[in-house]
Amino acid sequence: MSASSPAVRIESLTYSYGKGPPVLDIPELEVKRGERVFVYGPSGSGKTTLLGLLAGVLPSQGGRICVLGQDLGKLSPSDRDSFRGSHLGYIFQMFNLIPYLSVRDNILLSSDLNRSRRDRIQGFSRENSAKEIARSLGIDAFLERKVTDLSVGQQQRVAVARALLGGPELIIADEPTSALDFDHRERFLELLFQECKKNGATVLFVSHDRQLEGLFDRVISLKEINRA
Amino acid sequence: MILFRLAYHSLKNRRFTTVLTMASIALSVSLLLGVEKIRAGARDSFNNTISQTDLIVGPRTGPIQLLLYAVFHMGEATNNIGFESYRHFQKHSSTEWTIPYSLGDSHRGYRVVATDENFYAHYHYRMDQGIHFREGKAADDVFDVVLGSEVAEQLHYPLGQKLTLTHGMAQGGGLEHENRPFRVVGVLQKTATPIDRSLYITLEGMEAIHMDWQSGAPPIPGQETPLSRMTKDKIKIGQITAFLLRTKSRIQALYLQREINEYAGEPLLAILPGVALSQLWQGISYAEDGLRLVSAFVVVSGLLGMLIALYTSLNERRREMAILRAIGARPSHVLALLVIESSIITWLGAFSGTVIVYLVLWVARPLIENEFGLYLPIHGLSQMEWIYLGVLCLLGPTIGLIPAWKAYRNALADGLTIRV
Repeated sequence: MSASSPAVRIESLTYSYGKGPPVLDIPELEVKRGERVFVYGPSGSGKTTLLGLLAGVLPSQGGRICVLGQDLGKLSPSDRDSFRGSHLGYIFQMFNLIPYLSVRDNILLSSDLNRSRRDRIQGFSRENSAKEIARSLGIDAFLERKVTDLSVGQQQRVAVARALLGGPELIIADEPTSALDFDHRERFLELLFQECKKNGATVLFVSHDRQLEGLFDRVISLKEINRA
Repeated sequence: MILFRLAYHSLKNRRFTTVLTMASIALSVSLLLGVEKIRAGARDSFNNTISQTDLIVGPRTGPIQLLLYAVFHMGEATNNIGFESYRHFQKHSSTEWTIPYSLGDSHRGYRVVATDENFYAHYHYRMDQGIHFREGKAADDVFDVVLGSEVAEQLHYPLGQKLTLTHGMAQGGGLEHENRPFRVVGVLQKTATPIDRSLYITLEGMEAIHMDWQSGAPPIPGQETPLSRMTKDKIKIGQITAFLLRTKSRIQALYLQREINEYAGEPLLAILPGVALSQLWQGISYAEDGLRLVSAFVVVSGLLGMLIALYTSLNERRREMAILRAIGARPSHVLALLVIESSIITWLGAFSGTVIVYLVLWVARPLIENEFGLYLPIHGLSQMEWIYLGVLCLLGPTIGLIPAWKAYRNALADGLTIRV
């Protein structure tokens, strides 16, 4: 898993559910480290499946999937889970937060659950790093609040904070802005990019809405790379 | 550790159902333990109806029958023993004290027990509890009577009240010893034993009211012995029904029992009260198995309530599970989370149920003793009760495996798909 290996490398990847037709058939895809990639795909284009494979929740069937130089096909399911926990930040469309934990506990949750993620927070204590990230995302005033008291936009920023704490190398965002209005989307993306830049993290942003694609380094249409 | 915190916060978040589920488990545990406490209390009360007595001696009959009429004042004595035999064993070198009983009469359904001063001095129950007077004194004169506490409460007799005794146990319609009225001279304190439900007269009193009776028939009017001749020193006691005996050392009890059973003077039976009591208890203890069974079912239904509560919560928690999965939780973490939740519910439920039992016991103890004559000691948990709690504390998480397994399957199938 050298730093020079690409963030994502896919070779002749195929995937099908049960005995059905393949939903994914991607001959090749490479995302460089630090790149901010916009993956465009309408619903039904295999977006969810691709994200499941990249995050290591779905086992790969044919071809090769390397994330940060690690061939996910060579890992056991539980190793994939801890790999995801320590190297990936995942942001959902909405409802990113555990409703019964405070904002602070939500942010700390990923490092609570993963030792290597915890160990990677250097210099600062976990508490301070969480505060630091919260401050730059403008949510430090809410740390002790219940997440249900927050607006959707604020909740999504908490999700970013949690995804970024402990400096994961790859951030996967699954339409995280769809619940926000346009102004907030731009602001949200700016914050996301700003924080990822600090860590040098790669951003894989998936959406069916092309309005935001101009803000990214590169745009990939899933329809074009997926032959299924 | 983080899983414990998650489980704790998640339960706290659903505090209403959590508290209800815990309460139902707590109640079922307190019922189970309560039944167990009452059962043990009833058995102890029963076994402690009489204490410090080594032998109960009566005419040859069944041991249980002897126990019933000598200790519980129930049933009929079929035979008497000669006063000479009683005197023989009273003066025996191994004997410390004896309490003679002469039974057969009643007053408004309550038994009349004729005895002597040894009864007030030596009768003991519940280890070292003796006979005490609430008011008045022991029956000493021929026509003195002392009331057990329940008799006094039910019949509201003051000291000095005159009353007549009924021949035999028939309530109404029996032959009254009308011309031999007794006077209440004392009332006993409550003992929560059969002592409370009897009246106590002297052996001479018993002889006096039956004087002049001919083969079970009352004396012909005009031919009775005048009352003036009925003083203690002029009455000779012919027979008693049974007696209680204390030996000087416990080892002698078995030898003396053998000696009494082989007594040449007349056929006698001596029994060890402890042995006879537990035999009798065995015979009536099937009811407690029924109670136990019922409370076990209540515990099972409490656990089923928890199963339902956890299981139905799973659907609305799917997105929570997806979030956990996204940040690196394994499906086994999800399984463990649910098992921990069910453990917390069961363990806290069992704990509060135990606390409830002791609180109720503490508050209701005097009431139970007063109303039901059941003395419930406050002890720690018995071995049996620890076993019950242990089984429950294992059963809870085991049942929790069912929703946990469902959550595990969900987590595998859903992955990072958020279902709302």
